[in-house]
Amino acid sequence: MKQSKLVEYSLITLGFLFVILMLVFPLVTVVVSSLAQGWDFYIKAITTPYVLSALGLTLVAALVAVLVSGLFGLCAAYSIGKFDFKGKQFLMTLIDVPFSISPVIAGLAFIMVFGRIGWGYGILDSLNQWLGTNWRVVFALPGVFLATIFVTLPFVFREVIGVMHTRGREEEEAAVLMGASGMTVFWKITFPQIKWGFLYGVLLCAARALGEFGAVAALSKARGSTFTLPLEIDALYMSGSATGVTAAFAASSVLVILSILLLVLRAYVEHRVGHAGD
Amino acid sequence: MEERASQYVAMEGIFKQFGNYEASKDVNFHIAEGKIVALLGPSGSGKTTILRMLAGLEHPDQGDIYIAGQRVNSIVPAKRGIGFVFQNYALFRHMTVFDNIAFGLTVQKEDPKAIEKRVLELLDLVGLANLQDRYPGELSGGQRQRVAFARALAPRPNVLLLDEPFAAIDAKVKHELRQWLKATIKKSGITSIFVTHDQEEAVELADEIIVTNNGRIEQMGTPEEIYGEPATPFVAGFMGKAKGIMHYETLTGFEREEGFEWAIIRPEFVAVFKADADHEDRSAVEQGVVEAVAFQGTRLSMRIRIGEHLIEAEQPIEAASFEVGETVQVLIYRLFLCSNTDVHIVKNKALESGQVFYI
Repeated sequence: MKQSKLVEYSLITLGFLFVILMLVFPLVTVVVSSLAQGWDFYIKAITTPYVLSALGLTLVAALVAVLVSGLFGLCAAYSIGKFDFKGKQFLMTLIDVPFSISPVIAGLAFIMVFGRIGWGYGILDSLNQWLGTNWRVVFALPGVFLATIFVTLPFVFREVIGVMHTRGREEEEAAVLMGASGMTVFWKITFPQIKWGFLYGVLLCAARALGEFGAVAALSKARGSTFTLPLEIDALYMSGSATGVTAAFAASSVLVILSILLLVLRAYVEHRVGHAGD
Repeated sequence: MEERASQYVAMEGIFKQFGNYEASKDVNFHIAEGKIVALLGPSGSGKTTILRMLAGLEHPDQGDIYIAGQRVNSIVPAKRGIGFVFQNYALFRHMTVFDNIAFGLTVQKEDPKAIEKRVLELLDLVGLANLQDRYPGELSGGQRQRVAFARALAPRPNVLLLDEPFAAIDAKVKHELRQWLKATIKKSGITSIFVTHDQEEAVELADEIIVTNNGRIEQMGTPEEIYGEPATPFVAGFMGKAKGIMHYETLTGFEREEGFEWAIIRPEFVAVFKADADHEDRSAVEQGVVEAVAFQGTRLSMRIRIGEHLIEAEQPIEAASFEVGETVQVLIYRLFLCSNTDVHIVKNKALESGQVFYI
């Protein structure tokens, strides 16, 4: 008994130490460093046109990613959870690819497809000529959105399919047997089951979208127009001047605050997911 | 409706395959109106597939399904006039008991006043009137079953289908709930078909039993027929505490019959007496040795060796007590002789001649 107590306390201590050293301490450092040159400097640093533009784009990209990945995740989870078809397992594995592939590679892949040498470029070009527009993907906003969508694709799907697997199909079958239409079944039976899982997936997706660096970096080269906040922070930091570094920390603190907000929401939703169905 | 009452629910020439697995191989049966019928068989015997095909949740590859005299193969589940009670009840967990029961009527856009009246009527029927605002998570297993039952009955179906209705119920309350369910079904007069792998449940609840095995129907009949006159070796072996024995001709009073390779014996075919007990059938008994004794509450269950045979016997505990190693007299009244496809009952011949002698 005594020995197991010792093990218990050591493991708990180790856990706390690890979290404090690896997470809390660096994050506090970010916030403290961002205030190194005073409050006025901090405000100024986070309201430069570059930072504001980057913050705006980050939020828009996150929103686009949440909408697209959310809708896709919901549809994919529904089709995989409720229907039987060939290649189901294969499709599930494919959806997980963004989890295991490096985001930079994803970014480069989009360049290879839509860049000047890519096979998609010609299609895009003729489409532009036909429409009289000048849409571009690489080094433009669509590229940023594509990259963000790519890295966030599996989150909502994973959460929703998990709930669907544990809940099974019986409730839907019961509703269908009683004459409920497809829409009624979805809104009255399926959606109430998966809503907390869905929301949890959306929050994970948003958090990932806010922080994405590699995939976006490959496709975005114009500071002030296609830079997201993580890219702007990198640019500020790389400028090398003392004010630049502090400004980088200031911009980082904005991202940290956004993430903490999401974290609080996440904790609440996680609690609800855990109690769903009670 | 002008269908004959004896064919209220029917399947004719049904085949169903899932991949390589043949779930139904030429399934045929007719069920009369108002009957409670059990689909009884081991797991994987195809009984649940039959139920799901009746409901329209699965579709047969071949064959016809009739409900209330109408061929329903191409009719969607909701229009077949069936109520379905799922194994785990599939209650809508985010809805109250009232809303669960009202669901079927609500989606059919019935008048809210009429819905309320019907739901209250059903709550009364299942004895849950005071729990209408509870959520399923706040109910016991038995109460959930009642809600599922009421929900299935709410739209006034022609046929009630129940998938293993007692699988999630405590052993303690099972018996009481079965009696309740049987009485309530009889009260509402609805034709009901339920799936079970528990023969005790089938015997207790059903007017008729359909025994399934390996995708086929082995036999259909009343519980007495299924139990006492099994049509196939499978049914003889499946019902009761059956035990197979080879070389049955070595037992006193039994002769070998051509083509019948083995026999089935059940505990109720056997009586056990103390070695020194005096009774009128002494000429028909075998000497046996008790190998195991197990106390089973109301009965004593024994395993007895007679030469190469090991048989099961049961005694009321009020009768003589027996010990392991004790030599006893064993009287075997009858056996089911089995070939590959046939089974028939034979009585102990020594017993018959003995009786003649004493008369």
